[in-house]
Amino acid sequence: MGLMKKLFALFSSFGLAAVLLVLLLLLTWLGTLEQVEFGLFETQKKYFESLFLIHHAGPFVLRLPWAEVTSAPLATIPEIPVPLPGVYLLMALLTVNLVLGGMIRLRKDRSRAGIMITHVGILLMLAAGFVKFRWSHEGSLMVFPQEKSREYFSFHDWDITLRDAGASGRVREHVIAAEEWRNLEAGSTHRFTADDLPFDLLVTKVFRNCRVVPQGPMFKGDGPVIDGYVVLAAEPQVEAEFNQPGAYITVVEKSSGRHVDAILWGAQRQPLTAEAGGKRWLIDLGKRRYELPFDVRLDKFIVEFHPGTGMARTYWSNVTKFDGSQETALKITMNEPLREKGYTLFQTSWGPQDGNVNQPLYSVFTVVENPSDQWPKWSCYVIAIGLLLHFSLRLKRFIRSTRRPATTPAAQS
Amino acid sequence: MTLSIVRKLWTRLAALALACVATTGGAIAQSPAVAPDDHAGHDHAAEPHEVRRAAPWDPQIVELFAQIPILEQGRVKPLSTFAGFKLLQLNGSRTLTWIDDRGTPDDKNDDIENKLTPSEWLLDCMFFPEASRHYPCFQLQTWELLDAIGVERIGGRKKRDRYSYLELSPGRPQLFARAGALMNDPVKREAKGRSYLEEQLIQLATKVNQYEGLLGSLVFAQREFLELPKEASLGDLLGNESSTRFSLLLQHSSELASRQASAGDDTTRIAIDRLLQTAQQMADFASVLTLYPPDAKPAPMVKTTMYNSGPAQIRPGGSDEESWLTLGEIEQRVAKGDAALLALHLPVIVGWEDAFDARNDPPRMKAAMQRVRGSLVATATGREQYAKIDSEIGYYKADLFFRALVLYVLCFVLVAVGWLLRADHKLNRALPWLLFAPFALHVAAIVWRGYLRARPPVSTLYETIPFITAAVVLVALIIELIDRRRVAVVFAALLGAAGLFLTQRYEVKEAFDRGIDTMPQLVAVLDTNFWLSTHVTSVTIGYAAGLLAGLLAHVYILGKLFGLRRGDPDFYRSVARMTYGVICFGLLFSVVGTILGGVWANDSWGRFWGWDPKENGALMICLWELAILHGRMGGYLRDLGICTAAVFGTTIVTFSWWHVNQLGVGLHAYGETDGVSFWLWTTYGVESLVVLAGLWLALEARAKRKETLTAAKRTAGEAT
Repeated sequence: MGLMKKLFALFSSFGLAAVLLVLLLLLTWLGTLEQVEFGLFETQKKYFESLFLIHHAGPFVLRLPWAEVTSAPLATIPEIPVPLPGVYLLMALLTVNLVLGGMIRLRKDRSRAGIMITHVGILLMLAAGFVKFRWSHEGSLMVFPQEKSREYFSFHDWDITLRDAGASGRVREHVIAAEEWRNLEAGSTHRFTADDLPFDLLVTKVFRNCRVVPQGPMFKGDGPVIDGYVVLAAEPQVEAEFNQPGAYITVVEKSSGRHVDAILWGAQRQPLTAEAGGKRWLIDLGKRRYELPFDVRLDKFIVEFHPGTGMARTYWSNVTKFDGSQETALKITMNEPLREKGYTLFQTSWGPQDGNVNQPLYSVFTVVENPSDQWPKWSCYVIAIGLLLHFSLRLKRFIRSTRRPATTPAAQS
Repeated sequence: MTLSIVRKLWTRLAALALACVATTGGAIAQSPAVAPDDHAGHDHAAEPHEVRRAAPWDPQIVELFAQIPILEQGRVKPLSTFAGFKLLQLNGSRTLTWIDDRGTPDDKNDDIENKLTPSEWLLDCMFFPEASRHYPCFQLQTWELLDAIGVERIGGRKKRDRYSYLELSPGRPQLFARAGALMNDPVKREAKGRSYLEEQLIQLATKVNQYEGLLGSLVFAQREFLELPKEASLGDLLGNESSTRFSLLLQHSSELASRQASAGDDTTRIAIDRLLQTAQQMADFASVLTLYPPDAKPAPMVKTTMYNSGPAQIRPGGSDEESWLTLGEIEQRVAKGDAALLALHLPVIVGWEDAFDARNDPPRMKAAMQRVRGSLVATATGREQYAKIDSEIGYYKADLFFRALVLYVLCFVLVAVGWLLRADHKLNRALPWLLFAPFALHVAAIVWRGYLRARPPVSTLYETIPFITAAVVLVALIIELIDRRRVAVVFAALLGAAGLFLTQRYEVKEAFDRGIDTMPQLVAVLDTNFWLSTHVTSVTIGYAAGLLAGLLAHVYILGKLFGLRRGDPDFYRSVARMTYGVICFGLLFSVVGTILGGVWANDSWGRFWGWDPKENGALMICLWELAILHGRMGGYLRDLGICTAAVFGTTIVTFSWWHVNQLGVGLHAYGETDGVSFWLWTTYGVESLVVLAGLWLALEARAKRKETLTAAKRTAGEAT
């Protein structure tokens, strides 16, 4: 058998399918447990969006089931690093296996029609997942009553933006995307330069989560003191959207070589101001901004509680969508989002949660742009039809076989 | 949050103090608020004027009382349901039983065994608060709780036993001090950060607090607290006796306020002010019962559509208020001049007063209770909020789950007898059909709940248990009818009984630990009948199939292990086929249910898949079942392999159904349940042993095959 044939046999085999499914199961289980300690965002990156990973199993503390958590353990097994393939890689291999084994190699007859349909449905779902992973983005849109907005902000991605402080109207902004600098290694520097900027910006140190505090005797900072302030690194939050990143930067004027060191912090209220080329520039670290192709105005947000309780029964936003000259009044509520021009707006929450009775409430939407938004729904229908067809045929055969006379010893052997 | 709890505790303390003062004939008009420590130091054993019920409750009074509607936990329910879950929360059982040995000590002949239903117990709490404090209605999980609050252990009691309020009351200050400290501790505030004993302390403080609320709920009907001040001549308004009625004060509250304002001297002004304040306090003490609808107009309508309930709509001529009121709120509104509300509820308030006055005179009390019930029912009916109350009373009275449980057990006994008889014996032929009797009751209970809640069968973790049990029984019965080997029928009876037993225990646990009934209101995201009836139902059927497949597989593995029916390979092949068939059935529902869940999440949370623990649990079931199918098709798994894998599948279903809720993370955390870890790990342990047994059998079979092959080769070699 030639190499190609051997590879085809391997990648289309039931054995590979079974192994991949078991590995996926294992990773799903590990990823589920890991969320408790590290949160969803980190776990998702490590287990579900990776090619390979090192899982740190343990340490295992052995105790009798009825023993108090504080009691002395019977034994402790130290942490063991276990290399594993990531879900991303497994999904890719599963897709190959599905196409080769479940569609090309599959015997095409009436009895396998259900399997074929099911595999097509699963393929569609895997494709939906891939498209979502690669080409979708999501963020949060907060609107106050009677306010119009089209900007929404990423949950996790933070960009550095630079703009002319004196500019008005539609302003040109330089964006240093998070992907360029967030994984900066210790001791290295990321330089950002642009022809129309009179300065270069150097990112010298990055913090995923931090606090910026006045330097004092009680703190030992994790970087140099600048204007009396220093950065204190903090452990990443379990809920990654609550991280406040920070960075040490240096602004270097191109013409003079004069440089200024500064701190950028996600929680700062005002952008940093720097002078270069005879102009003032605003430098900001903020969540990535996206724009909807239409405006949304919150007319009113309403929440209803189950009578006599503080539990919300339902909540919804009456909004007006402005698309060019067209105005449309709409309602967005839980389980009934607004789908428009490839974007979907979901009712997520509201605030202020502890506001007084007559205080107007603002509304928070999750905005998702996902080209494969509805594909899973179609895949669900296809898979259901396929499985139903296949298992109906199996059941028919099973019932027939149970009504058949007992098998002979010869047949059994 | 903490402040509000502390404030509530304080209010309840004051309420109890008032109730205790009542028992000693004290007059609130003359007594300043009694501090908790004072109360704790009170000698309860020496109650001089304790009024006890003279005879058992008249069943008609109990029935009238049970039918009174009340708003609690966001829904209108009968007072009998309220009483049932309150007693369950305190007592761990819906029946309160104890021996009354308050006659001659050590003389067992004068001991009386008492047994109270929830409604009777609540009637006692409200109408005989002094006597009911002797009822041992507080179940303590461990007597270490007594040590923790400084109460001496009582001889003859078990580690886990029941205590009366009076037995616990010496430790009351310490109990509330410790509970308050825990609630103020940043770590212990969360249940996760508390030890078992600390959790029990918090629970006990909550229960004592609620119990005291019940004791104080008819304080307003006790006229001795409302002594008329001699300084002010109010006889024309409040009668000429030395004390007056709360209802009279309520009726004349605006007139009293104006007299107070126009009073020429401070003494009169202060006297009237004190009287009004006392009335307000008494009304506040009854705040544990939200009994009073704000008006008799149709309540705001909550639309029930396929997707969600939609906004509540105010009907033309209807009410714009959904919430019901406590007596305290009525008093406040009436004081502000709400005459319509007073007119609506005055008959009820007077009725309570008359009933209290006649508490040991059944005919008079019955007449008063009829007025109370009649007025509240008419108001609730006018608001279209009474339609299902009688049905709910019937639901709890019928207790269909329990009846079905008894019948399942009976059927299991018959199945066992059937195994001693020939396979074609009449009994064995009839057994699958006999099992339809408990199954019918079981399904009727699920449907009845669905009708009461206007929901599909599964919307809470509790409801998954009877639903999954019903699905398991149905699938097992169908299998038995197809393949009459008397295997599936065993599981139908056994799992039916076990599932409904678990249903009962879980109900008790939910009420005892969290104080909630099993028909709670749903969070906004779950308020959709379409997704509940499609996604949730499909996924739970998937769980049911996964469990049944695993349990059928036990027959295969344990049978082989212990050498049962050794000469009957057909039997084992048949069991393996059943197992495989159930896995296929489960896969269909698990896959469709899981994807439907994704489609729902795509509409509610903005993403199809979020790697949330509950989603992952469902995915794990699908992946495992798919792996089994592919392993079988590839020839890697045969009968024993499929059965071993199916047993392992039960651990995955258990993880998905229960364990992910314990993790406390993710968007599905509303299904969290405490205290099931022990049972989860026990399940994992037992199932792991069965899986190991399956693997050992596989290795043994492999060794035998090898041996046979070697022997055959040797024979062939010798022949050549």
